Amino acid sequence: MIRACLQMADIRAIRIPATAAGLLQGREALERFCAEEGLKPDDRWRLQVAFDEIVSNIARHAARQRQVDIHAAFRHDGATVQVDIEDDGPPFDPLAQRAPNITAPLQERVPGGLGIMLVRQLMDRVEYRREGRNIVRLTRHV
Amino acid sequence: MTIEESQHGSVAALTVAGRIDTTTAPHVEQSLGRAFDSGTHDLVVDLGRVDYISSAGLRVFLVLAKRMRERQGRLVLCSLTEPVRQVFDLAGFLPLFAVEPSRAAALARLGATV
Repeated sequence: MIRACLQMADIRAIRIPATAAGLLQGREALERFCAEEGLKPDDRWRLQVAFDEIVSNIARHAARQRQVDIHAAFRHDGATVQVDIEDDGPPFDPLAQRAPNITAPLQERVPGGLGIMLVRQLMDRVEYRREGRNIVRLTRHV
Repeated sequence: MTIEESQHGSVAALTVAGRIDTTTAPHVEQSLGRAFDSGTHDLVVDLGRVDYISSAGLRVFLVLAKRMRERQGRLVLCSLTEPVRQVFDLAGFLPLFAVEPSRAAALARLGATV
């Protein structure tokens, strides 16, 4: 029994509103989790940027009509960190956005889409599914 | 998040410290905008004390680069920390900016001294 408990992934979860204040709360919770788990600085900032981008996106796209709640869960099993970000806003697949052209000259660059592109590159895996709620799962091998 | 401004001859320098994210990007945009509106043609932005930037921050620098290009001014970024350099790289931003390893090198590139 003790052995089984020790082998369980360490999970932390937080419920936050999809607002600027909620983003700050979520960010602090993730920073605490990263510190407590002793994650490397390189993994920390990657996870933080990815979390920041996904939650900011939800706040921007989903929270225009009504209050949207976000539930975030952080897991670390020693080899992998998983961050699940669920929201009860309208269906929105951030991965369906068109990737920006990152080789275009300055005058043709537009800022849109950079956030999701960063998330894809900073994480090892990014998944979206809709199960009555939007669920984004970020996976980083640490 | 703090931003310090200094003038080195005709070169304006801004030193940003802290995180540049969704929350702080508007503040950075305002400060950079003020420096731009002062009419400067040569601008150095020292990012040596910025250890975090998200796409909200990238957007601010993209807008500034476009405005400086239109003015035919010169913009040099310097002292990028590893996370900031990596985010610029992943976004394909490094070829769009003049980047120097130190503030002294950035000022020297624009003909100013420290």
